[in-house]
Amino acid sequence: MRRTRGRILTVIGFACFTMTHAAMVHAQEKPSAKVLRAFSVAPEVSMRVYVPAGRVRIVTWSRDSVQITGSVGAASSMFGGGDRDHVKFGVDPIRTGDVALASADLLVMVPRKARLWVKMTSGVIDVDGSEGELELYAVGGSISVRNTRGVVSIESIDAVVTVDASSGDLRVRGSKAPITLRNVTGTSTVTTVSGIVSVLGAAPECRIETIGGDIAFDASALRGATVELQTHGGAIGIDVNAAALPILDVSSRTGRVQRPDIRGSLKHGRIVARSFKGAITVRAVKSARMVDTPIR
Amino acid sequence: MSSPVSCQDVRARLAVYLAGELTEAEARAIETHASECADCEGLLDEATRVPVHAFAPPLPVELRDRTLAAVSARAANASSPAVLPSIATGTRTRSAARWIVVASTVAAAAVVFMMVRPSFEPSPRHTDSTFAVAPSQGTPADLADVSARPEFAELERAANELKAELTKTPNDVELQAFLEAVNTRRIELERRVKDARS
Repeated sequence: MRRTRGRILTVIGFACFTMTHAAMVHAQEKPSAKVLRAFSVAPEVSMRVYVPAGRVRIVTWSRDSVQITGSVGAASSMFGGGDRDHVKFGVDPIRTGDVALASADLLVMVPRKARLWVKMTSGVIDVDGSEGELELYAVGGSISVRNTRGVVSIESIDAVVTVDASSGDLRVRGSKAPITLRNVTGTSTVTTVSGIVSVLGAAPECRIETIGGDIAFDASALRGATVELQTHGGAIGIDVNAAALPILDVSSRTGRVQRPDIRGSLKHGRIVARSFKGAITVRAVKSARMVDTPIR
Repeated sequence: MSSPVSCQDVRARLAVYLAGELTEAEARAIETHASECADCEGLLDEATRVPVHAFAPPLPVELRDRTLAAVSARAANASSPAVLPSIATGTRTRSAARWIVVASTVAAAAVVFMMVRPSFEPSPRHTDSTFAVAPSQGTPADLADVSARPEFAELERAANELKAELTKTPNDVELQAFLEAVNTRRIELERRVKDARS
């Protein structure tokens, strides 16, 4: 009897120690929940993704299915649902009224032609390879889009925007943060208030409007482009190809205008630049690489 | 969506309806149509149901059958007369001790957990520290007072400059275009900030 009691006490003591240690370790290093979801969808599934903070990376693949991997913030929980044609998922705070933003770090694999709507408050949105429609909204953080072919619409307040190698229609609306377009070959419209807009490589059919933000447009590799640039007070800097000067229609109400003293040709395109009080500078540069664009 | 809703309208607006972003009138119009159209009613039912299987693959049928067979076999063995006599005698004392140990362990674990749990609330910094979040140039707090944002001051200044010029040359088409651009940027920014707050 005494031996049995001793064994019982030993077991209880060991259990207490184990549970205490486990509880301490568990609470201190409470891991963010690992998320793994995979389900089949239609090729042109419509998806809405809402992640207030963190990172959402979207990569397209050739499967008719969605796979979500990553992790969810400690005070956040994932929600989701839908069917083959419409899917909605995201994260929200576990405790209602929690002032901290729900967060997650997700990698989402989607069909190439999926129609995506992604909204973040403060975080990173990164999309690669989409052929469907994209609508991306972020207040702060950054939005990066690469290798897209479908219609892309980006709205940002303070998020830095970068678009690389887009061939579909592109529309970007910003406010304060910089916007960079590289090797964009489709039509594009960019509007912002005070953010700097930089266009490098292509953008053959492009309209850019800012209020106080500067515009830096490298048209030296373009031939046959139709470009319209307008600012209220922001400066406009344009590089054109010295060997293939487009028609330049540039004027500023009260700002200084500098341009090459050579008349361009419509076959090389047309660039219109207007500013109320910003300076406009056009430089003719030598460029080895040219991208031909049919004049409309 | 004040005009009658068609089946095509329902299919086109379904995603927005599911996200709860239609106006009340629009949502009601869709629901009214669904109540009169069996196809659209089925579409709505299926879309608003949250299928568990959408997030988890179903078990293979063979696995389920094997599991059921194993459970049945074990149940049959447990009730076999050949097994019972070995349980009946000589092990009563060990069983009692085992139950005491289990009950004590569970009770001790519960007491310990209740004692330590309140002290180890996850700290707020843990939420985002592991994520690669780009530095944000604005926080949700900046959206509380829209007019305090510097862009609005810039838009206000630009509008005032243009209006001053237009008083001198009211028919200047180019100035009017500049002013329209400024007003459009202001309306767009107000809408975006309002959407962000929601």
